[in-house]
Amino acid sequence: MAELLRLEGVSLEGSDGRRVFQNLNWSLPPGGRARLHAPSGAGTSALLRLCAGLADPQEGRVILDGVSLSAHAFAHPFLKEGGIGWVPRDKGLLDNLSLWANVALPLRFLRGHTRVRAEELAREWLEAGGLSARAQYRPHDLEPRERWLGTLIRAAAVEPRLWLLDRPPSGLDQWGRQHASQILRKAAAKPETAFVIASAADGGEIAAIDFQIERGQLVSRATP
Amino acid sequence: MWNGLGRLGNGAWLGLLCLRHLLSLRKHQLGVIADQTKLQVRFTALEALPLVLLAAVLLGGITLIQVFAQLSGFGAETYLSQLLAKLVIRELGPLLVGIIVISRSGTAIAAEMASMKLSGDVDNLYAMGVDPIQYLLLPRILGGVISTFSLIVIFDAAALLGGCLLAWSRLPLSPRFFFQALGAAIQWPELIITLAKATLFGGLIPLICLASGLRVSSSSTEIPKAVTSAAVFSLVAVLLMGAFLSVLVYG
Repeated sequence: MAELLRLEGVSLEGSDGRRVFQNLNWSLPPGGRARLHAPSGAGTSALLRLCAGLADPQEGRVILDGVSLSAHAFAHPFLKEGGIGWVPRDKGLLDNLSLWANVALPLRFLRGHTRVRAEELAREWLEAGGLSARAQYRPHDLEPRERWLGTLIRAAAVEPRLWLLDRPPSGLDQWGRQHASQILRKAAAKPETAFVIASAADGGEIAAIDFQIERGQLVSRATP
Repeated sequence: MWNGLGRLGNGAWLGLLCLRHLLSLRKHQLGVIADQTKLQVRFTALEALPLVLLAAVLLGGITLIQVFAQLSGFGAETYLSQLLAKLVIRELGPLLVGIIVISRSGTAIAAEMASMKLSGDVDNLYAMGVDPIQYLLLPRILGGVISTFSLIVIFDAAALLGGCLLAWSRLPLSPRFFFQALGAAIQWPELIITLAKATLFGGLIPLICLASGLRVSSSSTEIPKAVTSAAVFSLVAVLLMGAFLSVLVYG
């Protein structure tokens, strides 16, 4: 099976200049599910940013769906088709749009729905995610867990082929976990959907191969 | 000097990138871009209208008084409206509108882009597949062109009307004579220069301000610097392009 995501000889430095990956070779097939375990600051978010095309490695390259990825090149076909479900740790929503408009935006821009249809779908997704009462709120009026959940809902709405899911900023309460699980279970029901999940990202219900970040490498811990 | 050239290069590169991404827009994305453009036009043109009208009427009146004082010395009052029209349409209208657009909208664009970049909004758009150039940059440039053109036309009309009212109330000139002379004064070169200056100013101001805003990299302390440099470089560009076009058409 062709690989959906491939890291070839990747060396990457974190924002503090410390090298977090060294000559990393790793791949994920379509439908592959990987959960990354590492203490905070060990490079999980940096790896997710690398896979999303938001950073260039110091060495090596990232190949996404068979095409080499350059950071901020605005030309990768997989990104342009909305293939990535990007859920960063915080600040995933656009500040100048309401939550509802945030969810509707990629539905219009990427999936070609009319404004009315995109807003209908966004409302349905927000209901499913338990945030319909907050639909008209701007991100700065939402709690961090709601912003993270809103970002998760926006990603789910476009049905991406590869999820890059970072952990929420301060963990989720039972309410948030329940809704996040519901959305992720629905996404994981499609066998071709791949996931890279930061360990505490409440994607626990998704059966995934566990990887530990150790000495600049991704080491498989166990096979579920 | 090198900094200025570097910025010029950045702006030119960004302009080419915008053109390329404009051509690669898909049909269903046009609606999103149109909605964003409308928001920009509302902010840049509609909300600036009271200020533009006030500036135009006052400027039209003041210019008329000054021109009348000079012309009456030579007994050439009949050329009053023609001179006013040429001054306002060729130079003062586009320049004043350019300055208003820079001070109201250009600085806002630079600050908005800088804070969006620092907060990660640009990255988030990119990662979710919404091209930031198409979604953020194109509507601001298109909105800038539409708004600047509309404001220049409105400014010119209001300034001439202000001049006409003053001439009618305080000077020995009838509105009928004023408008007849005005009609003779407005020719193709006036329309061409209005269109050319509106398009250039309207495109350049947002482009320079976007480029300045997107140059920030790590700290919120860079935002005021970005806004200041956006205003200064936009103003220099407007003055230079205005002078260049005037020399090209009338020189």
